[in-house]
Amino acid sequence: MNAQRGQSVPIWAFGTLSALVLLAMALNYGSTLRWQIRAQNAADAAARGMLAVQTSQWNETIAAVHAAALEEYRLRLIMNDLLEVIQGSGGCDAKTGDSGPSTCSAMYANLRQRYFDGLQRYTNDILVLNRISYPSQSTQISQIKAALALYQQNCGKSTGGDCAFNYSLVAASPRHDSYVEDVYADCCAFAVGGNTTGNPKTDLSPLDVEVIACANVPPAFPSFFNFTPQTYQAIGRAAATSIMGTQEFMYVGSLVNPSSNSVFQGAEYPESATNTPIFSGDDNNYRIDYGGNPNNADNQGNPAVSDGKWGFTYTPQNEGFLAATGWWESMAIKPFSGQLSNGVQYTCK
Amino acid sequence: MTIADLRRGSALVETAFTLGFTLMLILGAVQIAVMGFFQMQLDGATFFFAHSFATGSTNVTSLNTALKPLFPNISMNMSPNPQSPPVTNVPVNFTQWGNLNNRYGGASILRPQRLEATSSMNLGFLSVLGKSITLNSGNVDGRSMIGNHDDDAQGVAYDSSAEYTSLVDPLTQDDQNVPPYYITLSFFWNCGDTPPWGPTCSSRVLRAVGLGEYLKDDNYSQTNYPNNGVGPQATFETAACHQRILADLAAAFPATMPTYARSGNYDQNNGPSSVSAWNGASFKLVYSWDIQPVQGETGSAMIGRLYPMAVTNGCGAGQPGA
Repeated sequence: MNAQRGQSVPIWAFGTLSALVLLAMALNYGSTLRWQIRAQNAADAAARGMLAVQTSQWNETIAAVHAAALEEYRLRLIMNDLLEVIQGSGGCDAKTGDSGPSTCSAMYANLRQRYFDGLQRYTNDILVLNRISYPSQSTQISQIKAALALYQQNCGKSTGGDCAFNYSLVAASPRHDSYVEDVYADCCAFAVGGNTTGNPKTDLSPLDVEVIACANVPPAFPSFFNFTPQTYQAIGRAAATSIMGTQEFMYVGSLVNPSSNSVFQGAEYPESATNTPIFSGDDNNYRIDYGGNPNNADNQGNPAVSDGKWGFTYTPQNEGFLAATGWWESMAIKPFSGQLSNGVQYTCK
Repeated sequence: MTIADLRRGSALVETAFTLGFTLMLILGAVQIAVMGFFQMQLDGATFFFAHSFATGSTNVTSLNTALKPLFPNISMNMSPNPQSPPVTNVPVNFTQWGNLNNRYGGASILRPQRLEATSSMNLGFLSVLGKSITLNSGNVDGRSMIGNHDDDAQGVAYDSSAEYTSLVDPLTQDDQNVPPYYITLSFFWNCGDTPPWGPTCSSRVLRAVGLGEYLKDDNYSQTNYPNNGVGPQATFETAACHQRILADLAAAFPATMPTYARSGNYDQNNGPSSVSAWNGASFKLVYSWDIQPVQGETGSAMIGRLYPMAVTNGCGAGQPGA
């Protein structure tokens, strides 16, 4: 009877052990996979994030160019108005001895002040443009390296990466592939891309970067019996490139800003002390229009006619200011640096 | 019958019961472990397939082949299943004053097309209550694609199926793959009447303004503009030249309104090209930056190159804008 006791224990022991071993193997495999995906996500985030050095600089440059262009356009129209009133043209009262806001001399005083104010802003715009657009691509790459070091240092915070990994920048080079196209423009038409071949200088070439996130991962389970799980490396490898996230054109005086519910650049009346029309007829000889203001009977704008496929044609009919540009961001691409070695191009944590 | 005889039978029942329960538990645990093992392989395979395809490895056969050694138990015959990008809200109404084919603006946008990869695996050697087990897995990754390409030349809604079925690759299929650029088309009226003319001009001509702020093929060149910023031979050199000339002309506007004379300093058409009192700048020089009259261009390979703007007049060595 006593011999019958315990006969299920070996079965329990064997079965439980087998199940545990299988479970351990599955969990170990799962842990490896989880680390690999984690490494990939860490590398993806770092690669795309580091390109902000270039894309931010370019976005700021474009904003500064736009501000300066808009100011020069305004100055040119104010200058034209100044010459008109000096010449006694356009409807202002040129009679000597007359007074009031419609006299050429009163308009001259207003226009002169607007010119000086605009010139001050324009000068500041050019100074800002100089500072923003000055850094070269080699400077950008240095800043990317510094940013990646900071990303490592700030790991675990909102400004840093996953603390489990070492981040290495293994490549940063201009995207001189055969697909980069060019942009042409003159007084009356522009072409963006259109199967042209771009050959910008290096400082204006989009960057490709490649980042490796690597960690030495301890095994999920300690050694047991003669089985010793090995430490392994979780390596995430990711590349990204700078690309235009939006591409757009707009007559800034025609499109309505959804925040203010009025056009981005409304008509201006620099000849008036109150920025309102002096004459009936909306001061069409002096008014500054930025985009046709199609709701204005005196200026029906310059709408673009689409071909429905690849572009637009314009038949300018009125004053207006069209800007065509785009905003930059980064996008993931496949790694491009070939075979890499631990300790040479990258290191593991 | 002794007590020992009675105990014999009960041990057999206990053993049978315990053994059956134990085996069921063990086999169940093994079954779950095996299922977990293969589920993780499926999850990994779909993750890396979706991720690799989304980042540009678009040869499906090669991708399946490359991933096979990593997930040896998975039948690697996945194919991508593109889904719509996340809904966007482009609040600017480009057709407020016109219509789709007659409008004042347009935009194309880069969005992550949701790329789905799915895979399944039948575990024929396992069963629950006589039914075989099938594992399924799926993963979604964002593939950067351009919607409403070419500034929305198509004129389709941003979240429409027409937009979703016409997405293009930004690097190889669309005009988004260009260097940074900024270009303008700007116009103002010029009156050709002899001054002084009154409220109505009989010969108004539209003038294309030659602004100094642009970034395009003209100033991309390493040869002509090797430097950055606004200094000599720099990308935005012309902008700084215009600023200097327009600043010089501030001296042309004294507090008291000057008088006009034909061919004098305030005659932009017939006046001097250089006025020493204004550091050599003149109105004639500034107006030489423009094109008048505006001429249209259609369907030519030279679109955008036919009428080079004279924006650098006055910017050369020894000139007022230098």
